Amino acid sequence: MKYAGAVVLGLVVVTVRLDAQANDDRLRGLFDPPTYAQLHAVLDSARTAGLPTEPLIDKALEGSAKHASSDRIVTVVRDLSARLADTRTALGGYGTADELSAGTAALRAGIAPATLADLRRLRHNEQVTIPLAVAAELVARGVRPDSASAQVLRLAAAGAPDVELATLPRSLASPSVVSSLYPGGPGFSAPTAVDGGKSSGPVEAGRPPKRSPQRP
Amino acid sequence: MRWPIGVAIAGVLSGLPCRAAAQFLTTIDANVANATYDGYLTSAVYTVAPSVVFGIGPIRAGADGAYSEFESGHGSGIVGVNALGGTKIYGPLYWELGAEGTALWYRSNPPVVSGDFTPRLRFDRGPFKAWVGGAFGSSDNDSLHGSFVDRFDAGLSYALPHVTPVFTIATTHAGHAQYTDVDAAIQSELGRFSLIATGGHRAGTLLGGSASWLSAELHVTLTSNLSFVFAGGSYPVDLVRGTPGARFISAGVRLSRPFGVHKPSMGAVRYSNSSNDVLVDARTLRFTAQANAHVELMADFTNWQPVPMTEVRPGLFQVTLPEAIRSGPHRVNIRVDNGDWSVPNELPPVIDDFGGKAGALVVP
Repeated sequence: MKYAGAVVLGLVVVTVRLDAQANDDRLRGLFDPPTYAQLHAVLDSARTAGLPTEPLIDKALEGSAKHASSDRIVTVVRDLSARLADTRTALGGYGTADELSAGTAALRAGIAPATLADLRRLRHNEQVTIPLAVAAELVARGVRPDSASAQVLRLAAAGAPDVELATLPRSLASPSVVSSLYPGGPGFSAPTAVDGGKSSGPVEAGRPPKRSPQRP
Repeated sequence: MRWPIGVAIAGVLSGLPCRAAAQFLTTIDANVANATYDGYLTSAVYTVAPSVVFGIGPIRAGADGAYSEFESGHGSGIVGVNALGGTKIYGPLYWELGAEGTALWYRSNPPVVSGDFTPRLRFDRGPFKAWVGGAFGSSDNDSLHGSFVDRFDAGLSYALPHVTPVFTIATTHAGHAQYTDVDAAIQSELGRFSLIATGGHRAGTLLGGSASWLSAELHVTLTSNLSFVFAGGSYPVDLVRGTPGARFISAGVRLSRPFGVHKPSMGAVRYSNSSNDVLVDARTLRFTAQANAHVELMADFTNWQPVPMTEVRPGLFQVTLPEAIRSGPHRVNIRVDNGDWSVPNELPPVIDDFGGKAGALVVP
């Protein structure tokens, strides 16, 4: 009985190593031995640092599919590993693989590290993957990073679920629909919010014009 | 003149049959205020104001109203409909055309009905926005001694971190009245709080009302559907709609709820571009591309292996994957006739680190 713990621990170690080996094998057939060795070293370092390797393997696969040079792929994967570590720090020292991937994309888009920390604080019992991905997507759709952060943080603070957060970028799909349908969403940006209801401008969604109080 | 109202209603109805993802937002405001209207004694005012906004593709339309009861026991109501549509002209330049109609009544007096069309040119580049526009329509407010209304307005704004200043100027002819409003506003957002503060001055041939005004409105978001709204200050007479100017302070709640929004099924979110949805279900993706072409897709969820797509309608391609796409951010590329890998029309581009770009897809 006293050996049971050691047996379980051994099985876990073996399983993890086999899984890591399987992941690395996805790259073995795609790259020449020197390139594979370099990638393997990066993955090993990430594993030792407690970072997820799946985003790194995914990036290597993408580079291979896009016929990038081996040197370029190794550089990109190594750089991504460092950025995953930075993201983990910004997220309070921990995060799932998806959270770290989404956070890295958000930082890359220009979202401030403080936003990651704020999201972690606001959603300490939930994953922050979707809010981070939405923030990055908003920037990709032309929203300023600080504005994207403010919009996502506002919804997160209000307890909006992921499915609601994920609809935020869609509201920006058509620039001529100048306001989001969410109160305090993108429609809060000028010019429509301020002149809405008072002049010819469109009425800000969720904010009826200044019609109350009315005539006594 | 009620034809602008008809136009606005037609704008609403014209959007309904479209297949594009429609979004509705319903809102109910309830507040209590202490107000002093121009020419009246100070009074308590209890107001309920429902509204609905409908958006589909480049068209947005809405209807709203408010009913107020005063300390005297008298009541007043206002209802309005509006519609707005527009598209990009070139680069950061957009055009918009709106129409709105309003009817206001107080006690047993004849209602004041007004309506106008509002063309506008808008420049939208990142944090900087500017517009010029106008309005032409009519109002049967008796105090105007004439019904035709026209207005020219222009404005600009620049979004700074957490704060956006906005400046507008509008010159209005309404019957025998002619006046120019200059208005400056600050919008600010910080966490659960958002604030709009507005100040302005009116000069010209006035028919009563405040010549200067200053007001502020604070929103405190409690949940995604509920917020407190505190406001106070003054605002000028609206000669076109027939509302008097006032000084007021108010507190209320706002309940809002989106509905009719295509809630993603099976954990999928739909991105809409014209009439096509990208993620049809958790396993099926659709993109537009050149008709009668050989289109392939690759993405992180295909291990960056090309997967052929099937043309289900001319120019609309679909692929059904063996497994559901898991929740999270994904990157997608497509290629047409073995050309270069490119970003699908429907997705925003992100740098792929290899000298190209990929489309960003978020699955909640």
